Amino acid sequence: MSSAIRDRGYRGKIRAAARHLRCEPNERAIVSACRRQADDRCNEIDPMLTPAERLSALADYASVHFEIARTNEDLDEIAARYARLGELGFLARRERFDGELLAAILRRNSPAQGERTFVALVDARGDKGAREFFSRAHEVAHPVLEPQLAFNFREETKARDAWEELVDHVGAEMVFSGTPWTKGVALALMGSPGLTVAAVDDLRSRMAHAASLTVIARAAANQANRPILVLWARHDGSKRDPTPILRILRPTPNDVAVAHGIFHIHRKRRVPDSSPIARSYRSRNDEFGFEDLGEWRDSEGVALPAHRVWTAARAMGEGVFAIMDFAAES
Amino acid sequence: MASSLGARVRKLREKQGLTQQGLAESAGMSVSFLSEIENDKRNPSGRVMLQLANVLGTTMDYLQRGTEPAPSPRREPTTIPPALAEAAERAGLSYRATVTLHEAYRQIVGRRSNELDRDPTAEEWSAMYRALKQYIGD
Repeated sequence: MSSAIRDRGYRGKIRAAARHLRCEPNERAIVSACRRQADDRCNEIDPMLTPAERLSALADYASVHFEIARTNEDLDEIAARYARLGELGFLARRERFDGELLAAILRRNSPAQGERTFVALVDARGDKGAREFFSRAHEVAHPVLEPQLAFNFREETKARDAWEELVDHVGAEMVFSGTPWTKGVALALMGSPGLTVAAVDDLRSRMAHAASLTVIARAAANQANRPILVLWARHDGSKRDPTPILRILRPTPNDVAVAHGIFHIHRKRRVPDSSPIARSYRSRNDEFGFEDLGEWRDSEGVALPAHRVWTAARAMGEGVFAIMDFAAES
Repeated sequence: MASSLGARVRKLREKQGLTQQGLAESAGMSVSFLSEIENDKRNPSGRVMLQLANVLGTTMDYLQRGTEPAPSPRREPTTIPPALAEAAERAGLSYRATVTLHEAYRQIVGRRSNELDRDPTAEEWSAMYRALKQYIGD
């Protein structure tokens, strides 16, 4: 499908969502409108809801019931249970869950009295488990954002990438909001000399213990008024250099870093031995400290521009979760 | 339909085979408090209502007002994709079974995935039919 057709599909969905939300037909306005709607709904219940509680309140608002599959048996049982109720959607997509599908939401054909209209099946088996919380937020955002779900027709479009990214964004904005979250993040960001893994972990335990550190760190970083990168490193090879060494696999800049064009750390970038990230990988302990980005080199030995940053890292499983905070230079 | 909040809580609890103690424990409240709610002697806070709605698999709207979700809308006419038509012809499926299979696939209205959605191949439609056969009953 050509990008022009893909773009038409995406723009059509943006216009439909904007009509439904009564806002301007652009991404920023749509995200703001969804967040306002979420804030209004959550504040009606209690203005002090944490992100985990907001997710629960928004699922109620959007009439979404969650089913979580943690094992193959769970997945098969859920798909079969809904099939017996005449809801065949999950069973029809069962094989896709063994691939890259993380979650799917269906509109029930025949909900019983009092039952929720939508059911979201979240695959939390194995590695997918780390994304459970965000998958829930994403699925709750669908019915809030897409009025056509209520009428049970879908504009057939292949623009899933851009649209699903927007749904991700809306889900995060709706859930990671509210007074407890905003205040908690503000305190964590005030810590000197920069954001630490321990502070992110503390936010997680108080606000949304089912969420991954990465999700919490990204959401917190987006509230900062300085550039922050959230990173995941692991031993891996690259096209040019297949020898497995410690490399950055997932670099996520916050909004300020994007606005300032700070994309120094690209995917597959080697992690220098002196970085707290490499130290954490070796020691398996939390490591943190200042480092100079001038120590970071690409496969041809070309160094990044010198820049003093605060890096906090925690070894987890086969990799290292890290936060790179540009506070020191701000 | 049950006429009050308390009656709706009780009806859903009983429908799910839960005792007052079971529901109270799951929703994080005392049995006596739940009993008062079911007898319309207490007006629960928003947080409590949310907990009850979550455990009972219903919505706060339903508990508070008895509001039912809008009935499932009439199906839009569907166009059978060529790959499904091919699979249906191979398996000798009736038109009704073919449409049911297509509707089952389309019942998913949103997804989160690391890859783009793509239409199933004829082989995938055939596998889907085998998985759903007992429910489609063709």
